[in-house]
Amino acid sequence: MCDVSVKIENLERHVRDQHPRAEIDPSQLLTEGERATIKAVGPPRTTVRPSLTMRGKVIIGVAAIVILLVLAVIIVNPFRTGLRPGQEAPDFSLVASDGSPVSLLALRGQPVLLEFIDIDCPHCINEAPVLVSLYSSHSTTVHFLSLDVNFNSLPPDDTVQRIDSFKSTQNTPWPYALAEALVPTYQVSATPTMFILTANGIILQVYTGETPLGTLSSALDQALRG
Amino acid sequence: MTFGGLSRGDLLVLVTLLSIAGAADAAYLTWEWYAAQGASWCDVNSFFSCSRVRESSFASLAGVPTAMIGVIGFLAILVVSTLLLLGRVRLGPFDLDRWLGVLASIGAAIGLGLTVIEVFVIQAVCLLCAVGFALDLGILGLALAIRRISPEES
Repeated sequence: MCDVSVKIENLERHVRDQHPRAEIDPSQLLTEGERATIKAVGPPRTTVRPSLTMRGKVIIGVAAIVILLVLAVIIVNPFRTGLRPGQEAPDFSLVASDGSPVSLLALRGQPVLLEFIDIDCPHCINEAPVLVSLYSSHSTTVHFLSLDVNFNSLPPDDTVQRIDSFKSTQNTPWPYALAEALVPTYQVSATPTMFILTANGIILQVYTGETPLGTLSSALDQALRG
Repeated sequence: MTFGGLSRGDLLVLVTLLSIAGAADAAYLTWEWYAAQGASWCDVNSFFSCSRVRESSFASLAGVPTAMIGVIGFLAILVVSTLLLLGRVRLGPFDLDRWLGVLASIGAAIGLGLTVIEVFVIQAVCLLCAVGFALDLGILGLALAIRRISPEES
């Protein structure tokens, strides 16, 4: 009839649409066997593009706005809690890993670098050499204290023995203590979290995550200046 | 035929929208796993803490961040929904409606598993992961609705 190549599943439609005057009944073009084969293969690979309704467009717009709002709220994060600079650091009394008593109140008179860590946290391990370097330059004028909050609740739990092992591996000479109970008091949400306290126990800066040596050093110098 | 007044096209655009949001969410979490230095801006407190979840052993599988699986899954759903929007109903021997349902089901199942692990094992919830799970559930619901509207009826 024409030289156009047409797939068998489209033959009836082609004849009906392109050759309306041909004296052929399109429904007689295919045998029962061919129809069964087409049915078994399934619908054609492409159909008309699905259309949108006005109601659908409104709902899509609302959904897009809701998703953006949710992401914005998470980014801005107005619900974040935690102690802030200017507040007094809550006091605590603990037993250090070497058995000696540790009290924040007893450290008054010198600035304090108070670190909340988990010895299994990779960022805390990465931060340890930074603090060792900082300790070498500030150990006579600043108190260093690391509190393990066992943040990673998966086994093995942090113990005094594991803390001592961490200390010897990382060569960190300052006192460490287990302080899981202080998580709500200090509202620790990530490790390491470092509080720089003035000699009067006021929070000067709070740093979360791996923090560069220069940043911590500047904060300690500021604390030393009072 | 419509579903709740929405056409097949409406539902497919919604799936596309949710899969883009899901891919972006999972891509951010993947980036954070590789690049972030400990803190996450989606930390709220010690329970709702992305950092705490990320530092757990469940955050990666053989060195590959779990969130990467989310990126791949959401992108696969995005490809399928885009093909359906372009009018394709099959890709080779595959019925795309069915594949959308299968991918959405796998995504929702993985999301459910990870959420259970977060709550009961890690004992901390990552809000961005929770958003990803919510998007998974939304896509699954839409995929089920789409299967009730055949392409010929749209």
